[in-house]
Amino acid sequence: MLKQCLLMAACALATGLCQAAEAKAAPTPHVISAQRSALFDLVSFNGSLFAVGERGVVMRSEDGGRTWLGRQAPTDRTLVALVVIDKDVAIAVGHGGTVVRTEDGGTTWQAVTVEEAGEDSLLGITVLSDGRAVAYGAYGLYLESRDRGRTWARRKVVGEDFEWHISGVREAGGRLYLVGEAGTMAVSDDLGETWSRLDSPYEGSFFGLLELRDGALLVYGMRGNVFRSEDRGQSWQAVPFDSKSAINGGTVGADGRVVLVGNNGLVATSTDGGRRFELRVVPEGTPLARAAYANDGSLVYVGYLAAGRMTTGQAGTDRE
Amino acid sequence: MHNTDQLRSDAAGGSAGADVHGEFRPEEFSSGFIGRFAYATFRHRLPLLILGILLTVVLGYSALELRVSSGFAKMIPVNHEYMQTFADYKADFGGADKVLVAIKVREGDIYRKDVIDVVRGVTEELFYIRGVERSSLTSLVTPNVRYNEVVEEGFKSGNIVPADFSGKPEELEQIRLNVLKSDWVGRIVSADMTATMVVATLQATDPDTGKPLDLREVGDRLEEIRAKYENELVTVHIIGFAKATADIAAGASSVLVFFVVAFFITAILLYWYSGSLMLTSWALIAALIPVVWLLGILPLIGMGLDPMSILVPFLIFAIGVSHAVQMTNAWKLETLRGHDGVTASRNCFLKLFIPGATALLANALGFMVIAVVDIQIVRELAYTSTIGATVMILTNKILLPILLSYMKFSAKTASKLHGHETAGYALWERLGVLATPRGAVLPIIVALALTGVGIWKVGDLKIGDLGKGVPELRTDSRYNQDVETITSSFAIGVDLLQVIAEADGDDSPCVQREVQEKIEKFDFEMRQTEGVAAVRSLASFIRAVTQDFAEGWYAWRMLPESVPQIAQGIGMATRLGNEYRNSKCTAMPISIYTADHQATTINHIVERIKAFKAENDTESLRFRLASGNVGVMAATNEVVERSDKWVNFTLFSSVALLCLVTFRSLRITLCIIVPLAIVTLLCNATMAALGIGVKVNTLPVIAIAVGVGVDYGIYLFERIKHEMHERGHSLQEAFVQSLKERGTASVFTAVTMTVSVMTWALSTLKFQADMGILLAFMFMVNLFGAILLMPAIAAFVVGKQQKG
Repeated sequence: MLKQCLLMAACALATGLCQAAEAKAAPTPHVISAQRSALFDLVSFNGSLFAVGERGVVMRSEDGGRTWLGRQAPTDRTLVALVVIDKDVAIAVGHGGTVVRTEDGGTTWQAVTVEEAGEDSLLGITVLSDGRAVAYGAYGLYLESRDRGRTWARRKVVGEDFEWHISGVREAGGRLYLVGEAGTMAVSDDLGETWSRLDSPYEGSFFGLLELRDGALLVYGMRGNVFRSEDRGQSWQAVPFDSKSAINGGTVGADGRVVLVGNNGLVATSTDGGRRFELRVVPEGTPLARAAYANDGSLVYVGYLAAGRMTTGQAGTDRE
Repeated sequence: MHNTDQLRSDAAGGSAGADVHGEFRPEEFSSGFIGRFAYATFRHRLPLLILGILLTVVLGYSALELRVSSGFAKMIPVNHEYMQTFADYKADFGGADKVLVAIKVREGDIYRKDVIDVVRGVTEELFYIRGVERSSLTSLVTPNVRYNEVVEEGFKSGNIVPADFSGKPEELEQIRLNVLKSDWVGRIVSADMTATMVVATLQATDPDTGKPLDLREVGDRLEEIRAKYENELVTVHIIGFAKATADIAAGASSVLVFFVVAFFITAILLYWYSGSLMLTSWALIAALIPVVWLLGILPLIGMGLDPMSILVPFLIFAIGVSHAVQMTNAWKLETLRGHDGVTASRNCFLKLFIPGATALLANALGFMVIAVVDIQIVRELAYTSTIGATVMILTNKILLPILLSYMKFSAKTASKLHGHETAGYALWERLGVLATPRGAVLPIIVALALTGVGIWKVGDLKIGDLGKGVPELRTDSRYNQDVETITSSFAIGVDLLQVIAEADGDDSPCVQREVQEKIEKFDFEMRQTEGVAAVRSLASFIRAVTQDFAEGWYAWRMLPESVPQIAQGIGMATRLGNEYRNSKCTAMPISIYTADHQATTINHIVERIKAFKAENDTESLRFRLASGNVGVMAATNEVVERSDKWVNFTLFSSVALLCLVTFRSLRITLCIIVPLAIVTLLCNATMAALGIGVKVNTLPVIAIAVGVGVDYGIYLFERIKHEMHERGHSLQEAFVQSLKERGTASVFTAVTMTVSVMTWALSTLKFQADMGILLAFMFMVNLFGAILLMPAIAAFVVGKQQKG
């Protein structure tokens, strides 16, 4: 009897040893980190901040960019731009002719097939005052949607043989402006039906344009080139900019402050309507895609393996 | 079973009791095997003695040929799946054996002429170190370090430090700008511009001799570079496997000091214990002879002594002392009973040969079992210590009694020692109560409580390394401080796990979008994995090139749609040598830099990789684990984890089998094994509590300790059984008698060995200190198990049966 007890004890001991050795940490659920993803756009939508990026990543922050929760939209392509239609509907576009849509305020995303885009890259999207959505990108690709992004139609813009990349389309003061590769600059007075070329101050590529609070226009592009126009694009003045980094994106805050961001972690801010910029660098040092002011005045930025907050007026960041 | 036992014991007991002087007649040695063996031995004692002395001289001479050997290949589990990958691509992507020399300015930044001169000097010195793969040399001044800039007209690129650099301020400013334009920031230039690195890969073999590269030689040359260039301007920090190995080897040479210390501690304790200079000397000599034999045999069979197994001779010495003490103690008791030297020796031989040889066989088995770990360095340790334990059967069980047979006490010593032989008997009488069912209750309750605590604590036991830096060295060693400096200055750490993406196809399958898309997915998932600091892959390199070709606009940082565009990116990658793909472009390493190399971190990442493989591996594209130093660690951890159970299982089964054969009793075997198992459990729990992980260095500890710990049980039970069967003693009486004859020697042995290994705690080598602490724990607690718990278990398991 005792012998059996002891044998059982020995066996229990042995299995205890084995079980203890086999106990492993259970794998944690897949969490997407904003700081470890390539992010390309930052937009305020439905009361939250949204960022989109590589492999269909959609990041959402409820606390002004302090913490992010990520999910993946149904695509493995890179999403480059996001536009808000109303409080429920937003559209993101990206490479490989990708279009994804949400109708529930960003909780779920559906892929939209756009035959006419082929596999060409969509680099931006904007909404016009008449409710049409316009997505644009590589080799003169220009798509219009009249049903809030469900269906799209391709059209020729600028000219019959126009095939440069379009990097920015923006409606300002009733005119539709378009900028792109190799100094491309055009304007349409009938919201995209007919186009005329503008005289470009620069033969290099533009990467975007902004409408400032006072109605002036600001275009930006490669190697730190920034130009400002106060006469609806007829003439352009070079803005002094102490960096040769490419400027990837810009925003204008509600109070008129301008933020441009670029490669090598560049953040440039202007409080005088884009006449002068103060330059700083985020600790990541990687290309930044876009930055915007949060409600508490902090600057939130996203980019290549970068997502953080910069306290205004200080060079430090308070990333969490 | 019972009958044969009776016969054997009768035979041995009968002869031990007889008083015979000087002459050897076969009938006095009984007809049993041991009797005939003893007769043969003592009949030829003179030739055997001469043979023993000759062997010792010859092997002592041979021991002078012994070399300390170490090498990278010995440390890795070559047969593990990951290491197959490592071997398959070693030629393409270089070994994991890198040397990193960081030059850090004491103040200011690196853009000074004298700092650039130091970089150039260090680079040149490294170039001429034998075994350095010259094409791999990477520093600010080597031609493979370039910057790349997008301008309106296209690209501009060049060397970071111009070839005609002369040190003008504008040139230094240009270097600063070039560094910022390059992607070398964080890799060979620290983000804060206060440090820069010179990196080289070492070849596995010496290019001149074709033999494994002498890493200690490389380590010495690196130390010379440090001595030459470290000054009031810069500090020089050197890390890499070769340097670590050299530092460990330097630490291992101090083992000799510990050996000397242990020798003197043992000598003093022995003299205090035996009271006789003559016995002390013989015990020490008997313990040294197997060490000499072992060290002499190793060169004869073509083995060297690795820094890790340099502790083995030390251990053999300690075990040798343990057995010599049993022998000399028994001889002393016999002599003091009035026997002359020869008779005393013969009686000792008859009494101790069986338990002694059994115990040594158990030791040898314990050591041999470690060889299940499929890592060369561990196997060498197993072989070395098995040889050591085996030769001890000859030296301690045969040669020592022969030596003693020529000795006798002087009248003065004898009178001094008389009356002292009963020292400690009072204690042993008291312990006798443990062998009764009532007395056994307390020890068994304590043992059960400790077992409970052990099982609770052992859950925290981790596989692999727990600290940062090189675990063999202490945290405050120069090497580990250098690791800290370099990892905190440079974004990319030293802990690298490489996964090889292997694509099928004859015509550069790497240009296919679906191949790169899968690598991009893997890169992304790895970046999202906790414990990963950074990932470099061909897919993300192609994305960066695509951005550059799109005039630097970040929106184009993507994997292009078409094969020509992907090929363009890969074309740029070829300029970086083989970092991202092999020449046929069928294999692409994905470099995963981990936050540290703790086992939990590695496990988590490897699990993620395995999950990814399960979902994504196809016939034509496979992700193979793993290369890089973390790849080696992952493989080693898996081998250790797998072996840990095997070592324990094999160890306990073989020791149990040995006990079964010796005692022919399942009950006695149980009495010996259960305390050992509890102590082993407690040792694991102690490791968990002290933050010592199960790894290559600690795995042998348990095997060694169980091998040594079983001695106590075997020695004591051999006597208990004899007393019970022979003299009809009760278990309690037999236990007390056994303690009187052997307990004192066992306690003495345990104390001596514990004190000796405790001194290791002061070693500069962390693993030696860890081993010392654990061995000391095991030696001491095993003794408690044998004299306190074993009789208690026996009271229930053996006592009743014998009475009934």
